[in-house]
Amino acid sequence: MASLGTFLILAAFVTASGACAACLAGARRQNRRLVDGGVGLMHVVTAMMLVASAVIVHAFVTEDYRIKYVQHYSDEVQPMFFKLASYWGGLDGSIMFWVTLLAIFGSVAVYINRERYRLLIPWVVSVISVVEMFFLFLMVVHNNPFETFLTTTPATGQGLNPLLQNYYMAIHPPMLYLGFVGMTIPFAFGMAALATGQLDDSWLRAVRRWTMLAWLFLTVGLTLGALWAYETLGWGGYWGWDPVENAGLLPWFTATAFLHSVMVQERRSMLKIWNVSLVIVTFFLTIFGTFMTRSGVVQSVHAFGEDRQLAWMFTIFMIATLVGSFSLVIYRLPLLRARNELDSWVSREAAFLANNWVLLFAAFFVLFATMFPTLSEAVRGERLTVASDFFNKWMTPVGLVLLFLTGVGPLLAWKKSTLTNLRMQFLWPVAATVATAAATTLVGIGFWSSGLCFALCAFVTMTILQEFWRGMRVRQSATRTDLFTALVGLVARSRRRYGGYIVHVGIVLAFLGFAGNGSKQDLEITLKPGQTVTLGAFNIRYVSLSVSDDGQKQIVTAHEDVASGGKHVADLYPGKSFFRNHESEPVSDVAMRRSVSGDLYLVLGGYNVTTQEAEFKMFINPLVNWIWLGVAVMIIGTVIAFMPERTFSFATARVPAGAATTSLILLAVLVGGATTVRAQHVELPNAVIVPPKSPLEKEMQSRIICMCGTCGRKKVGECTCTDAAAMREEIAQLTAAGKSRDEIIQYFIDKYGSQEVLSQPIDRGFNRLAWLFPYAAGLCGILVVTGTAVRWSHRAAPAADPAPSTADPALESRLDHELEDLD
Amino acid sequence: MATPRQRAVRIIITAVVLLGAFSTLFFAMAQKDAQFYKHVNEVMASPTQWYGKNLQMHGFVDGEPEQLPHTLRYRFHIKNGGSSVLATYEGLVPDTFKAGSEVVLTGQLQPDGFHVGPNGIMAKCPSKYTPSDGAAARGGD
Amino acid sequence: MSSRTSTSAPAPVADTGFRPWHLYVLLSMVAATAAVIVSKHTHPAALLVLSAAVMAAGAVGFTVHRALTGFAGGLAHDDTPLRDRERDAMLGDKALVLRSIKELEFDRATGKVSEADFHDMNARLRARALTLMEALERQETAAPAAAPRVQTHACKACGTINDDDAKFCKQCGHKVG
Repeated sequence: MASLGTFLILAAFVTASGACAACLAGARRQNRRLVDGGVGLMHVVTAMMLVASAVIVHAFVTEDYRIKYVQHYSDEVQPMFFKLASYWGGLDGSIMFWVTLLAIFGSVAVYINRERYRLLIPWVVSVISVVEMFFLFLMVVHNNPFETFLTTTPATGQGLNPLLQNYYMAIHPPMLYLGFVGMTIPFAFGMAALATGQLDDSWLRAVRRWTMLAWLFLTVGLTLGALWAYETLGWGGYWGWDPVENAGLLPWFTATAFLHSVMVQERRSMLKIWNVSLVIVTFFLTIFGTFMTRSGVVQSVHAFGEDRQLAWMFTIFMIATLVGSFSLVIYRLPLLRARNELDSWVSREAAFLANNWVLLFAAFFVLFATMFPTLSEAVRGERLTVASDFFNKWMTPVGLVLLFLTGVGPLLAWKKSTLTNLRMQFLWPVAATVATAAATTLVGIGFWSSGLCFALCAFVTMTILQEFWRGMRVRQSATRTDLFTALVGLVARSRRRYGGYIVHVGIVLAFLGFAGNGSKQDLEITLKPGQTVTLGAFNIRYVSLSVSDDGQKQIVTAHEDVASGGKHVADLYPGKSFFRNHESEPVSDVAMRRSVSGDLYLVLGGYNVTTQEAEFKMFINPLVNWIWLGVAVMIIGTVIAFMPERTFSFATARVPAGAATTSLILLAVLVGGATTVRAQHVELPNAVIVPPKSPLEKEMQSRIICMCGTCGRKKVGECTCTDAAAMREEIAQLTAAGKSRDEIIQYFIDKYGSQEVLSQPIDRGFNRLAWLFPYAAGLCGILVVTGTAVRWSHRAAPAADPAPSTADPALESRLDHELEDLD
Repeated sequence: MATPRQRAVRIIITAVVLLGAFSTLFFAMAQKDAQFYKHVNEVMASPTQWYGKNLQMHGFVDGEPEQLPHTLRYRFHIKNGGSSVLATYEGLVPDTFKAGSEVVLTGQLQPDGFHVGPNGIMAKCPSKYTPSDGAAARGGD
Repeated sequence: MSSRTSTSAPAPVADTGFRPWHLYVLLSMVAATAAVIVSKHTHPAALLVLSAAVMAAGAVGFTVHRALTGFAGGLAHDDTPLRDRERDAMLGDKALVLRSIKELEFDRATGKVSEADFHDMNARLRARALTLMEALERQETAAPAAAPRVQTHACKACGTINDDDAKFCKQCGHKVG
């Protein structure tokens, strides 16, 4: 299997080079067959990478420790979920994951656009193939995930670091990678546009949705990382300006700039050089981020470690990318000249331009500050580092400026704003800002920076409300429907704009959360049982300390009684977990009380089990949950902006007034009314689990399922309910009595009447077939759906209906009619 | 349309403004907020020149750290490359902080020893680096 | 005894019949089933991943087939005549221009464009739309071949051309067709 994997990577590299060569030759010579073949070869690479991925995942699932990578990041007791997630747990696998995702995205992008953007396709394929080749090359010569042990194979695996064994591990890296890899597609189309000279809006239209999607994944990935740090790592914050965190943030800045800047090109044919440069810089930053965290060039608590060779290979690739892309830009400069000029600084174009500059500045600042230690060492011989305070100090005003622009942009007119314009647009938002600023100062919130932040949030919110309201009114008078239908139609007709406004609402909510940082409180203290400490509005009484064990880890938990205003508010259990074989790397179990106004956040530090004395770190994080809420709203907004025309055609059609309203209300009632009830699983948090005494007992604990019915078929060794405890006792007694494996299994089958009590059915021919049926059925289903879809897509599109030609005035009136009909 | 000359002037002004912005950045960083990253022996070679400067000192904990009973005050020695210095700290320490751990201390050197600032003990994780695991090594765990 | 196997050699690409990818899917499913039966690992996850790997291998086969077909020039293309493609492109452009006009009107209504600028930009957009519409019509009249040809019958009595589905001549009333 391992050699198959290595072969596939090598073959993929060769095939990708073939795809690149064929497409380039085909494009230059206008030879369709070469291009077709090249595109086909790109799809071959994708298929190969899928096989390679399946091979490595199979190795993880079957515990094939001959492969070093598998042995390093997995072990026998690791839950299946994390065995699968270990694919991207280490450097080698993460590179292969990158290539696989890129290949899939490339295939999809090329397939979707194969007819409409036929001229661009060969170049898109070439660029994507070159990027694939770089990462494949890294694997071939340096970091092969399929490398095997040459002599002896270890009998057990090392296992994934316990800190990584949580759900975030499974979702944060893929989301982030989807974002990074997704940015390669717009870059490829941008390069194709430059190469072919097709520098009008067509390439922008092709990549619009890709950029939105990649941006969304990047946002979600970054937020998941912050959430993970906040919930699991126990230092009370969610963003530390660590180099790895910054690596993900840099392309986010430039991608945001790009998303906005394209609107100016579409409307006014300006900022073409900006757009093409932004897309190049975004791609470059995705590669740079990967480079930073993997090469050891920057010291980081997250870093994968130092690797000089890797650093060199990355550097060469990055320099080649920059030189190649910007040469193309310079070559095409004449075609990129704007057709219009900036008419006034008080215009929407100017706001977008300012937006570009600020975001670019933010990106370069973070980049510069992150690389500062390396740069200062190279220049001055002294290694200087900067702490997160420094970042916060500079990024706060930058963030506030961006927030301001978010509000101002929609209010300014295209080309230039007249005074009447300004007055009409700015009246309400400015009023809201001033009112909020006054209110916050009166309440006692400092103007810098929380007060100003709140004021600007009010500014942006009022702007967005005004936009929606005025749009609704205009549409209402145009279509003569009720207000609510007008709203639905408004959003449906300009999904990008109004979806974008919703995203801005999300941004406002997130900034509210950021503003809370200013009034953070924290406390470090040693307590004896019974002692109470006051933090903010809470009185926290330390009750007791207890130790328990669940077979996989030992857990030390402190019981805290939290009261506020005399009333008991919560019981919190901060603790520490010590995993088997990883006792020197304890994992913090943070205890949190979340609410809209903020979090009470408790961490257990050192402790003494005999005296029950314990050290605690306590935080009050005001408004922090608004950040997560804000990101959720951003996701909704992006999804709306993303929707294709057809989804909302029901709303833009001339439906009877109020029909849209009624249906939406019905929908809301249905969704809101649906709730699920599930049986509560009874857990004993302090259950003392006696560890298995023999290998047979341990095996049985993982082969027998707890039959309590409410734990979701957990293994007897994992479930903490009383039923599982009783079953474990039975197993212990049976093994002590000298029963064999089959006898014990038979005992349980007899007792519960079927093989349901086993975690895996006994391996017998018919049972194996039983597993085939579900996925065979699924496969048939997929085939049927695919076949139907393919057949539908081949139905001829209805021909357009040309009107008879007449003289000019008639033409004009026809134009007016068509405009009227157009919704 | 702006004449070539006007355009050139604009470009130059933009470039100057940008460069100016970045230089002030560099200055600001170098003066106040940056910390020098040093190994113990580099600092102790001539300690007086480092008094009062923000330092990130890299070394290994020499012997078991002393904790004043019922408080969060710690005294310990940190050594590297043959030199050793006394360090004091008040606060919660990372779980991996014990005799022999590799640490980076953020604080200031004074005549009476190295004063570690709040959350200033960063202990490196003993095992392999994987995404996000090291963040737990920040003080306050 | 006659038998027809569906996994015979790939038939030439017929539009509604057997396609190459059918073969590969079929082969991969058979191979996946075989692999699962033969495999010595019994955990469902392992078997699922194994069959996924085999299906992906089938995908490799299919994509190689497609690539080679592409090189050999056998891939079907949207070979609508150039004139039709131009027309589609112009229709697309016209739709975009009309949409831009509507957006401009909306912007004026919400106060995002001053009156003077509106007239300016509107005039330019309308001119562009009219040019496109004229060009489209010129293309229409230049080549009426796009119009569907209707079958005709000549009346045996008076010689008038009648439609295909006519039962009686429209001129003289004589029975036709």
